[in-house]
Amino acid sequence: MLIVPLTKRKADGTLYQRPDIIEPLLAGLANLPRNVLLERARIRDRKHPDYLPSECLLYFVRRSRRDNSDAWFEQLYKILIERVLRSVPRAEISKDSSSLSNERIRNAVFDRFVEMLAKDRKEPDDKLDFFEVRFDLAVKRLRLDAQDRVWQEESRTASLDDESSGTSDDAAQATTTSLLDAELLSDPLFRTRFHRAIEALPIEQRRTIHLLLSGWQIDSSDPSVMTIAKALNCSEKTVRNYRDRALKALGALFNPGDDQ
Amino acid sequence: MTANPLPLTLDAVLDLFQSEGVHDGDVLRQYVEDYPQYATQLIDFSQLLAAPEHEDESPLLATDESRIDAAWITHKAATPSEPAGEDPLARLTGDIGKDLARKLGVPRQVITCLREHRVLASSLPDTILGNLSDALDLPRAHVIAAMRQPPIPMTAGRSYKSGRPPGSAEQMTFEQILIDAGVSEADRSKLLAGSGE
Repeated sequence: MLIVPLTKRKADGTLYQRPDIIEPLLAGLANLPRNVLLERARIRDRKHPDYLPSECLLYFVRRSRRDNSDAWFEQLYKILIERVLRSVPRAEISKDSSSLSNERIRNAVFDRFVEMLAKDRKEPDDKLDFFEVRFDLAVKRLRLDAQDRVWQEESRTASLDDESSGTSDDAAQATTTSLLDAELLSDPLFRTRFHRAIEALPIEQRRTIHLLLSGWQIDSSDPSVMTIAKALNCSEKTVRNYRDRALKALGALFNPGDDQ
Repeated sequence: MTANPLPLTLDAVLDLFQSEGVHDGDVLRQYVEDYPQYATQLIDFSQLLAAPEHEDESPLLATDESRIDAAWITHKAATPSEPAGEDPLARLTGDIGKDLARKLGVPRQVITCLREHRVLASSLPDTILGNLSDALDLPRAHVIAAMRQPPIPMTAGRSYKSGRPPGSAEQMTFEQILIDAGVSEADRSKLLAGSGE
């Protein structure tokens, strides 16, 4: 079976290619009876040997652009967009402001993906090609666009805060190091909780912690070095305050009694 | 890594960033240095990429199910547009024709015959029809409908091993087209394996 190549080009002019694992998988899947393919598409456990990567699922949905009358394609389509919906955090029961933002972001990501798919069906172009290369990453890109818009609409601004929080640099350094504890982060459950806790932080604290965990310095005497203060366009004192407040919130992860 | 920073749009920079194989602190630093005007977007994207894949395991809410149903209605309504009167087989030129010939392992002459409606639709094996349908991004029924259109007169100057007079406009079986194109018996058997229309 001929697998239709992608047409989107990178900045250097080369064509995007599906990952090595996807292309041969598609060739095999294309020969499967439709009901078998559908059953496999319904598997949600990524570790299941018959799990169908979303890159493949999207391929078949895109290739069926003229067969919408067939109930089979309707089911395939719905499985794909349900995956998108499930991949973006939804509002918690608490319905606080950050939770409501999550709901708006989730809906915006879903609506944008649905819109892109419909547009691709009407007049195929290369805008969905990257989703066939790295689906999860492409959905995160939609999430980035959506959260940027939602945050702007909510006029969330960083409050610059130069007041010292009183935490010593040594203590903060020790907490940051413990957050990076390889053993803890290798536990998938802890890792998920940890990242959710980071995502629940105010924007500037979230950025600060992410950059610290990425090995960035808060500031530097060398003006040519990119630092957190420079990237966030604020003083090193403000960054330290973001850091201290974030560490206080994240500390609850290490003291379960405080996590309520 | 970005070697030669240019005044790119935010989307172009994020496109570049997402195409990187690794998204660690060093790669992020390089991008923020090259495109400081997009620092916060790059940092936020990098943070999303660092997080494990989110997978909501809980049952869908009724509102989510309604959203999915509504999305399908939108999708269904987005009817593919095709210029009226277009012959989809005419697209079997250039790379599309070349790629199909390579995939099938047949001489280009066979693809030309398909393009000129010279192959009896009923004689085309199912697997070949599937390949053709994929290459043209058309459902099989549309491909068959196009193949049933009258043959286009042969291109002047082209010769066939069968010695049929040039310009003769008749449809032939796929097998005959393969024989005329000099495809070996072994290859023909492989290509013809499978059910017809």
